[in-house]
Amino acid sequence: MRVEAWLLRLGLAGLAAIQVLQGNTSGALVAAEGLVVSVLPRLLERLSKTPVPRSIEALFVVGMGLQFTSESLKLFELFTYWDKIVHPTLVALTVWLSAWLLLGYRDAFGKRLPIHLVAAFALLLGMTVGAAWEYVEFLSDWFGDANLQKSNADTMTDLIANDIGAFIAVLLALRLYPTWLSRAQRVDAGRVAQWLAHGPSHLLEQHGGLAGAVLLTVFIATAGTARAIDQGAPEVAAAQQPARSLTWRGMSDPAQVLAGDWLEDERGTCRDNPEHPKPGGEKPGLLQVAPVNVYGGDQAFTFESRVFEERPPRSEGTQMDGGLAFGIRDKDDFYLLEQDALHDVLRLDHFIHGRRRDVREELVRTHGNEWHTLRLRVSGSHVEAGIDGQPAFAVDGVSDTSGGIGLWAPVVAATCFQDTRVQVD
Amino acid sequence: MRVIEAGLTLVVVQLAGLLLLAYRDRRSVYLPDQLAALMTMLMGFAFAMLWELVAFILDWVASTDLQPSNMDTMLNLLACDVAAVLGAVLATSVYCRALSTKRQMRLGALAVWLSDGPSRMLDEHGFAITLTCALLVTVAVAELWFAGRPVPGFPIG
Repeated sequence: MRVEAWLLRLGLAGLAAIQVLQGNTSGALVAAEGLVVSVLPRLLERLSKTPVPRSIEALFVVGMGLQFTSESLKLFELFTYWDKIVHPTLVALTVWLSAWLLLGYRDAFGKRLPIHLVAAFALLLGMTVGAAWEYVEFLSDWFGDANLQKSNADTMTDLIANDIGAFIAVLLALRLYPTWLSRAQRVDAGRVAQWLAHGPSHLLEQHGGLAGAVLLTVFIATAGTARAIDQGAPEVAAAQQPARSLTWRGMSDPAQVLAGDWLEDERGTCRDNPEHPKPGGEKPGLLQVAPVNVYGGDQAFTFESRVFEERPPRSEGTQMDGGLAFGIRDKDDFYLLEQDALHDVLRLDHFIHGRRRDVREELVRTHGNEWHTLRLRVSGSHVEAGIDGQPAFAVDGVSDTSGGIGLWAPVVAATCFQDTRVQVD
Repeated sequence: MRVIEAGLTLVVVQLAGLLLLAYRDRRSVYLPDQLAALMTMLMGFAFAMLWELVAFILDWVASTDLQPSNMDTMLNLLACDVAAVLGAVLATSVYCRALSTKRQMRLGALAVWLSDGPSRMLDEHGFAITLTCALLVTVAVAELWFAGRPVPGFPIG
């Protein structure tokens, strides 16, 4: 009886039950999925007719428990750097297990495989798993607007954290292999490794060309679909008036809510969050200012506003975000200069059919509960962005910049805007 | 820039693949062709990632402009990874089908010579090397953390 693994599974089952009692069915489902996945070593043992070493099973269940518990309890959204702990841990466990399986294979079948080569292979595998994770997030964002990659810095620091996890795991795996696994367990690990590798190895030997062709086809189809879904951006609405300079004082001036709840309070015009969705489930709000006017095209304009991003209570999430939209065609198609106080980034995005495509970003450190002035200047396809009177970046070749202008914010607490102005040249 | 990165990855991966296979044969290491090809691909993926990590650190610490956006970074990585796969397949095919045994042996001698130094160093000073790596990583992470933030006792910038 492997008490530690079954205790962890029991924990996942208990979490699922608690989530059901609290009416959180999606959280319960995630915990139940974790429970199912955590039983895989038992299945592997049954299918391969080889005992899976106890410590290997424990490491696997720990990894799955950590991931699915975090997902179920929304810990990634509640704690800013939680993913920087969980993902490197999972990469580290992958490295650890692969190093042990490879060493076990070497020992079980008497293969000549230097330990340096095993270490290098496991380290490279871990680094690749970390990068593959980022690809999955990138594709989820591209096709499903999942908002998993918060910024370039988020992606790169994820990679750094994963690589550090892989490096530490290699050292630990090599160090603990002779002490944590008995001779019989090492042989078992080797047999499990052989059973796992046999299928793919046989497939590659028999149908290597076909497997390559299938992979290439999937790759080309994915790339083609990724381009195709961005086609057909809507045109600027007809019969709109030309641009004019204005100072927008609030909801009493002409405005059109395209998405979300907006209200006036002592802080200005605020994107409010009356529904209090679960962390990670916040929807963006878009308020079009001067909705009858079209800005951009041949006429350059400058658009600025003061922005306040309220820091939310710890239990509700961490998001603090707000920005200026331009080139608005509808609620799903526009450009956005976005300041994210959580991820310290000032970014130009292009939303196409509701999916974000980042154009340019810069590290800008801000905090919640502070006022900052965002400013952008659009001159044809040239866009300049700045914050608090300091230029941040300029981008050329930005297409389809003409359209409406507005205020944007997806919030946990509130994001407020004051002193909104647009100046047409 | 993306084309240069991918091209360089292709060249590096091909060289690494040829040397790995030659090392295997010279040292009679157990490494089937498929595993060698896979390891060569992994080397290419790691090379591409390290390139992007260096670019990222330079952007933050030295205010260069090498990574304009996340999409650009991901597409660079993708281009390099495709090059790594191509390079690994090419290297394995060339080594197994086009190189004579004599050339394989000569390449193997070079691979052994190249790996002997680092291997001996790891054997003799593994702990010191690990500490140095850990120190480098710590310094890089600290640099990133404090970029644009006040460091106690120092002005920003």
